[in-house]
Amino acid sequence: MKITAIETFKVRTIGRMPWLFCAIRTNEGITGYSEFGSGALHMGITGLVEDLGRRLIGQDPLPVDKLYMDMYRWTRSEAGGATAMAIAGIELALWDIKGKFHDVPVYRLVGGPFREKQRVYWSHLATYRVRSAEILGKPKLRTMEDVANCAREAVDAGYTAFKTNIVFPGENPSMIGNMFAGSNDQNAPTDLVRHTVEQIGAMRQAVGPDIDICLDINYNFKTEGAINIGRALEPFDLFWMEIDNQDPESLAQLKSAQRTPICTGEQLLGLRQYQPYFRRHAMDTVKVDVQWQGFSQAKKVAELAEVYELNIAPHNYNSQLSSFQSLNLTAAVSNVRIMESDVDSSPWRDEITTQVPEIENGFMTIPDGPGWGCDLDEKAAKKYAFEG
Amino acid sequence: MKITDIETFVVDAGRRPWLFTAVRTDEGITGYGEFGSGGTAHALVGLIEDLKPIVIGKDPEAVEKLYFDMYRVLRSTPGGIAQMGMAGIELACWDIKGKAMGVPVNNLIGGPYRDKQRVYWSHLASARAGDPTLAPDKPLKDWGAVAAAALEAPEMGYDAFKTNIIWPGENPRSISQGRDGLSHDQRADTELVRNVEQQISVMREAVGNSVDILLDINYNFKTEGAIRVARALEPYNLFWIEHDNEDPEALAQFKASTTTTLCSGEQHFTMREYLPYFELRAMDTVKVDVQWQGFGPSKKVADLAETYELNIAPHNPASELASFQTVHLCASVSNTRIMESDPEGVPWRFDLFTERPEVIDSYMTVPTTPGWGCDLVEDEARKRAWNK
Repeated sequence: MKITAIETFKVRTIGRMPWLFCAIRTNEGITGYSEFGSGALHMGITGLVEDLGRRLIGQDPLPVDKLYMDMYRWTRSEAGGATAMAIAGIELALWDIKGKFHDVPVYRLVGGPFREKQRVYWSHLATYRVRSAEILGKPKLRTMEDVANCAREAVDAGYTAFKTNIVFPGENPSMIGNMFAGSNDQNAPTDLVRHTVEQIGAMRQAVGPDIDICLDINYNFKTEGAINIGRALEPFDLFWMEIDNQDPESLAQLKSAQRTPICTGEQLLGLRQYQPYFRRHAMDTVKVDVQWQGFSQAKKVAELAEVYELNIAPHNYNSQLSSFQSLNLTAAVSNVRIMESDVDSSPWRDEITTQVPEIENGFMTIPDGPGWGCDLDEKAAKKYAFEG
Repeated sequence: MKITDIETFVVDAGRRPWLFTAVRTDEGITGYGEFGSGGTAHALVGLIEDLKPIVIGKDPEAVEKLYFDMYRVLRSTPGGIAQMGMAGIELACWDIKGKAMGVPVNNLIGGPYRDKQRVYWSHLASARAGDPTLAPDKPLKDWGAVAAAALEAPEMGYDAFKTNIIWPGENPRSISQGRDGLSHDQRADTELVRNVEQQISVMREAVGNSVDILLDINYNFKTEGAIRVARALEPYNLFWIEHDNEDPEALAQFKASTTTTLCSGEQHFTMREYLPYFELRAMDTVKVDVQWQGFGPSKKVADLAETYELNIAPHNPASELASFQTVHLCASVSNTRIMESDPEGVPWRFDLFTERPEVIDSYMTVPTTPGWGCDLVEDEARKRAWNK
């Protein structure tokens, strides 16, 4: 079998950034699909797929790990980050080809399944409704009670866990934006800490003690601010507080300075980048993104985490194809805490893939179709093409 | 002053394209930058497009703030090509700032530390092994031709040169097993070690003891092979052996295993990536690339290296504008060992720029005109556009 063409697709979302997909075609009629990368750099990342893809035309798609290593060594001087994401786009589509060629799901190729279903949490609960309540057909977040109602909605839908971000309800609702705009200082002033306590308090009160609540504070705070928030939230028994912080020693300090469990790692791409964090046991749960680093690297990270007595939690906030890819990972490894899942999403999300995941009582069924068990619907992807 | 537009130029320079940015302003000043690595040209052109919305309309003179505004948007994809894309914009903004204030960039931030910088002739013989058209009248047919090539350096006034492992012959070749080839193993087999020993011995004999010889083994070997090569070359008193290796502990081990001096680090971007190497003193000299990580990040790395009693050596394998940018770094910091310089290249390259670097007796003159002191000639760059 030979690779004949590599194509990328950008699909618009209710947010500002597109979802990215890759299709790899072969001379035997099999097409492999992947969802990959972060839409924030869609031009750079799809440009790199072009830089790399042209060198793969004519090659056998089946030795996936070898082709990954070829792409890795071509870009050794600029490894990680967006480079890893573009390589992932190609690698993931190659796994889909390989699974289809052998007529088995990807997790079976590599020795799974470890499970038949995977517990998921409703992610970005309330968060997406700050900007998109209308297009989602949901009530506007006018008061903290509206935020608490989102939490009740998750429980009513059968979910046993959800994750939220710091939001400010009101006539013009907003969410925390220390990451991408405003001052560069990433401070957590006292009123912000109090506000967070009020939000999590309202949500805990709405759902009672048995529902697991996660809070993602992303890149919004320096270590000191994160410690203050983590301490203030101790009475609410969070499932985890998630933070992105690029200094392993700081995270180890955060973990020991307060009692809220820490989940982190989504921006780490590849085994090498996780190692300094693992050595220091700098997190309680390891965030791992399949779409950003590829299937093999994500699996290798999970396997190394096992050695350090750590469980992973896949990062998964995109279209349905990324849920299929992430489920294939959880079915291929022994150590999963829980998996992310976006319930609120672009209304056309289910149209652009051939399958949607089955969800029952907060668990997603591990798919049994060959490859990822889900294809991109190219026609629909073109219908909802991202226009920039 | 406000940024009004950014244009990217990709110039066909033979083996790999060169990349330039032109950042335009409402006050008529245009700043230029040379950036990135030509192996990922489509990606880098795309990244500049991704970054444009963050910087258009902003003041280019607050260049450190502008850099941080880009950095925080890319926090999930740090390093690699994203860093190179940011560098393209940041470098051009330094040029604008220098021009607006009528001073050279090194002067803006507290230099000059020096008025000239020692440079070495890089890729000596190895450039010709890869591309015989660079010197069609001097084919590398045997070791005698390699010795003659080494002698050209002192004849041209250079008291230091760097080479890579080559095999002379009817079809001369240079090593590239870290980047391609059938095997991924990066081995230093006995035949290879004997060949490199022969090469360095021939070159040392040709130029005597007053010329410094450097050898770059790039990514070609695992740690064990690099140690074997370095030990075999101990009798020839190399200025340094240069090795790209992404495990700080492995490099520290290399350094302790041989009396050959070690230079490393070109693929690291920003202080955060250098720190694990500095803490282990994992190199004798620190390679730093201005075009790949930007001017501000490079200077910070050099300043941090000073506190670890380390000198830097700028990586500079690109075109003439890169030499200007790089010599400004040397003039802005206290701790430079030596700087890279490629005297050989496509003959028309000087047409691309308003100035060419002055090299007298192995020293490059630090420019004293505003900005980098060298502009891109945009029409020439367009004439030689890379369209692959």
